[in-house]
Amino acid sequence: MRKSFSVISSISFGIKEKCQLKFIRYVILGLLMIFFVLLPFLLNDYQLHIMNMTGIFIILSLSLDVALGWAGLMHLAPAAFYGIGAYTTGLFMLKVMPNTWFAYWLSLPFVVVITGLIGCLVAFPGLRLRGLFFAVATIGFGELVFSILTNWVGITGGAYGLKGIPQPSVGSYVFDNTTKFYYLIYFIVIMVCILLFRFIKGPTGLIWMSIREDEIASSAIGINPKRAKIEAFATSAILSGVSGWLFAPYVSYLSPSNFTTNESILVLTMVVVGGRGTIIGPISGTLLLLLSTEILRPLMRYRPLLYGIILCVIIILRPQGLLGRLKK
Amino acid sequence: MCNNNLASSRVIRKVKEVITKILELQEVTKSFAGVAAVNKVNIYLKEGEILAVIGPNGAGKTTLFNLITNIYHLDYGQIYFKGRNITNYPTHLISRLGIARTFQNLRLLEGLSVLDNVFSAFYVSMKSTKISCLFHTGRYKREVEYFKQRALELLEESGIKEKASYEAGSLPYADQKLLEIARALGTEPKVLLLDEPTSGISSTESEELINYLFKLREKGLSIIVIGHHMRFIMKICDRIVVLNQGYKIAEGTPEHIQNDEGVIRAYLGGEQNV
Amino acid sequence: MILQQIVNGLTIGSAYGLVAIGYGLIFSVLKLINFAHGEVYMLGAFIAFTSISILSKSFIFAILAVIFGTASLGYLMATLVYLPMKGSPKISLIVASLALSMIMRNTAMFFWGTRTLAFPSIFPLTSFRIGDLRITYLQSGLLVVSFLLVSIFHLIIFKTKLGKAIRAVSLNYMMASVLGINPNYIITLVFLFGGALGGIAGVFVSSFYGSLSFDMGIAVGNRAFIACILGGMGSIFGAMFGGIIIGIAETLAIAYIAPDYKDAVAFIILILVLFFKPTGLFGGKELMK
Repeated sequence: MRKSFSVISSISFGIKEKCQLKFIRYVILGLLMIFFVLLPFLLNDYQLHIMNMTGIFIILSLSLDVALGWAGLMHLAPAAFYGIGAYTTGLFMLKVMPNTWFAYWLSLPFVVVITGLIGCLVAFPGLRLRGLFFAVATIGFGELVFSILTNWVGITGGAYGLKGIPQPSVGSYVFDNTTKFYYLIYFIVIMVCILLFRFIKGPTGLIWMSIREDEIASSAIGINPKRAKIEAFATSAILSGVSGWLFAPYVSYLSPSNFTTNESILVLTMVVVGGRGTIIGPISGTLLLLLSTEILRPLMRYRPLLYGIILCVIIILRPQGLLGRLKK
Repeated sequence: MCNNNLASSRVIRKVKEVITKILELQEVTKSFAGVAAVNKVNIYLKEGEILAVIGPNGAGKTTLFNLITNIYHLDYGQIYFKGRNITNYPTHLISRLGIARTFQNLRLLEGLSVLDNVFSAFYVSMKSTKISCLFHTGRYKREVEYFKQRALELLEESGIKEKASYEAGSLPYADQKLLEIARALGTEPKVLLLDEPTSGISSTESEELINYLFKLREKGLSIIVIGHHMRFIMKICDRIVVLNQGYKIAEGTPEHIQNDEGVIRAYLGGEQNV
Repeated sequence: MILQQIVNGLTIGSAYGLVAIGYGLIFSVLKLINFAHGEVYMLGAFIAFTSISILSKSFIFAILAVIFGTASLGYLMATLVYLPMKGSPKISLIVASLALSMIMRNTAMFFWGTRTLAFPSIFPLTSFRIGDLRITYLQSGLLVVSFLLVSIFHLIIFKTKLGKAIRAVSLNYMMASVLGINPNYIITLVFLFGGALGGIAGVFVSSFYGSLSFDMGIAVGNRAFIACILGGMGSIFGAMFGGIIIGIAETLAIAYIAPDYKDAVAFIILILVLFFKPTGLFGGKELMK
C-alpha cells in the first residue's frame, strides 16, 4: 500500500500510530524551533544577512510554488509582485505616512490588497492562454513592471530607486539590526508556512491540485477552474508581495534592478530544483541554491558558470526536482 | 362528454410526459472540421429511467455527453434540464445543477487518495469560507467530518471502502471505474451520465454494476449509459437510443431495438441477427 | 526620415526573423521555448569575431566558421540537454534552457571578457542610394540572405521529404516514430538549422552595428520569441514577418518617441498579440501551412 499525498489519509492509521507519529513530529519541530531561535548567536553578521535574504526568498519561492506547483500555472514573474510589494511598502512609509511608527505595519494590508488585485487583473485575461503562452505573458508582465519601475521617475525614483526607507518599529522598539530582522523575517516565514500547510490540507489546496491534475474532471464535479486559477494566482501574488514588504525596510533602498526577470528566474530555479507542489520543496531549493552561491563565493570568477552547470546537471538528472513529486 | 374525457386524459398524459422529461436534447448538432459528429439529434431522458445510448464507433455517443456537459459548445440545438434551458452553461455549473458524468478513459486524480477523489466532489457543498478553513474553526471541522463520512458511505456502497487511503492510480481497473462513479455521485446529481462503464471489466463485476445501478435508480437517479456490451445494456435499460454517424437511427425498448433492421445493418452490415 | 528608419528597422528585423525561425522550429518539434537560443546568436557573432581576428580576413570564411560553430552548438544543446530531458515537465525544460543560456553567456564572458568589443570592419561600409535612402551593402546583404534563407527553409519544410518528417514530428511525436521517422534525428537536425540561422544573424548584426558584447543575446532572444508569437508559432514566413514588424516598430520608436522605451516596444507588442490573437498572425500551434 502506497501512502499518498493525501488530505484525509489519517483515517487509515490506527490511534496508536497516530499518537506516535504526532509525538515524533512535535519533537522534531521543537528541536528545529530551538535551533532557529539560537541561530543568530552562532553566526556572524554577514552570515545572518544571508539567512535573512534566504528567509525572504523562501517566502518568494513558496509564493511561486502556490501558482506553479499546486495550481499548475506557468508563472514566470514572481519578482514583479515582489517589486510591487516592496515599492508599495516603501512609498507608503515615505510618502503616505511618513515618520509614523505604525506606517510599516499598516502598509501590510495595502500590500495584500494591491498585489491581490493586480494578480487578479493579470490572471483574468491570462487564463485564456494555454500553458506555455501564459508563461510568456507573465514574462511580458514582468518586463512591463520593470519598465514602469524604471521609467515612472516621479513615483518610483526611476533607475535611481527609492531611498531611505525607515526601519520598522513598534512604539520605541526599533528593528535596527540584522538579528532583529532575522526574528521578524523568520516569524513571517513560519506564519506563511503554517498558512500554506492549512491551505494544502484544506479544500482550497485540494481544489487547486485537482485543477492541476485534470481540469476537465474538476469542472465535471462542480469546480470552477477559472475562478480557482485566479484565486491561486492572486494568492501567489499576495505572498510575493509580502516578501517585498519584508525586503523594503530591510535593505532600505530599492532599485528596479532587484526585480528583474533574472530574479524571477532565480526563484523559478529554486522551486523547480527543490521540488514543486510541496512546502519542503521550495524551502530546500532556496536553501540549497542560496547557500551554494555562498559556498561557491571563493571561486568568484567561475561562480555563475559553475552555478549554471550545476543547475543544468541537476535538472537533467532529476527533472521533477530534488524533493518533488514525480508527475505522470 | 366522452370526448372531453378522452381529450383531457390525453392532455394529462402529455403534461405528465413533459414533466417527467428530466433531460432533453433538441436538434443538437456539433461538427468538427466540417464533419458532423452529432447531427440534429433529439433525445430525452425520463425521470427515474435508465436510458442506453448505443451505436458503432464514431457514432457520436461520447460527443453527446460532452455536449450535455458543455465540454464542447453546441453548434445548434438546445438542451433542457428539469425544464430549464442549460445550453452552453459552463461545465461546473451544469455539474452543480445536478448532472454528473463519468469518463470513458477515466479521469481520476491519480496522485490523490481514493477518499480525496470522492471528497473533492463534495467541495461544492461545503459552506465554510476560506477564512474558516484557515483557522480550522469548529464549523469547518464539523463540515469536513460530515463530508468525510458521506464520502466513506459512497465508497462503501461502491464496495471500495477498504481502499479509501490507497492512491487512486494504484487501484485495479475495475475499482477505478467504481471510484469514477462514486466521485460523480459525490455531487449528489439527479442525472448520471455513464460513459462505457463496463469496458474492461469482467462479467461478474458487470453484474455487480447492474445491481448497483438499479439501487441508484431506486434512490431517484436518472441514468444514461453509453455502452457496447449488449448483454449488460439489454439487462439494465428501460429504453435504448441508437446512433450511427451522428444520426439517431432508432429508439425504443430493448426488444424493439434488437429486431430493428436499421440497427442490425448499422452494426453488422446487414448480415446476421444481433 | 521615416523611410530610412523603416529600412533600418527592416534590417534589424530580418535578423530577429532569422533567430525567430530557429526558435519557432524548435518550439514546433519539441514544444519547448528555448531561452538559450538568443545566446546562439551572440556566440555566432563572437565566433565570427575570432575567426576574422585570428584566422582569415575573409567574411565568407567567417560565415562558414559561424555556421559550423553554431550548428555544433545546436547539436550539443540537443544531445546533451534536451533529448535526455524529453518527456520532462515543461517547466523543467524551461529551467534547463535558462541554465544553458547562463552557461553560454558566462563562457562567452570568460573567453572574450565583459567589455563590448568592436567588430572588425571588413565588410565594405559603402552604400548606395535609392532616392533619399542610403542602404549599405551590408544591409542589403542581410536582407537578401534573409529572404533567401526564409524561402529555402519554407521550401524545405513544405516541399521536401525531410520537411514532411519535421512536420510529422511536430504534429505527433509518437506517431512519427511509429511511421519510421527517427524523431531524435529530426530534432537534432532542427537544432542544427536553428543554430546556424541564429549564428548568421549574429554575424550580420554585429557587423552592421560594429560592436558585440556577451549580453547581446538576451535582448535579441526575447525579440525573436515575441516575433514567433506575433507571426504564429509554426509559420516560417510568420516568424520572419514578426521579426520585421518588431524591428521596424522598435526603430521608429527610438527615432520618434524615446530611446528608453526600446525594450518596452517588443513587450507591448507581445501583450497586444496575446490579448487579441494568441495564435499569432499566421500560425496554428503546429507547422500546418
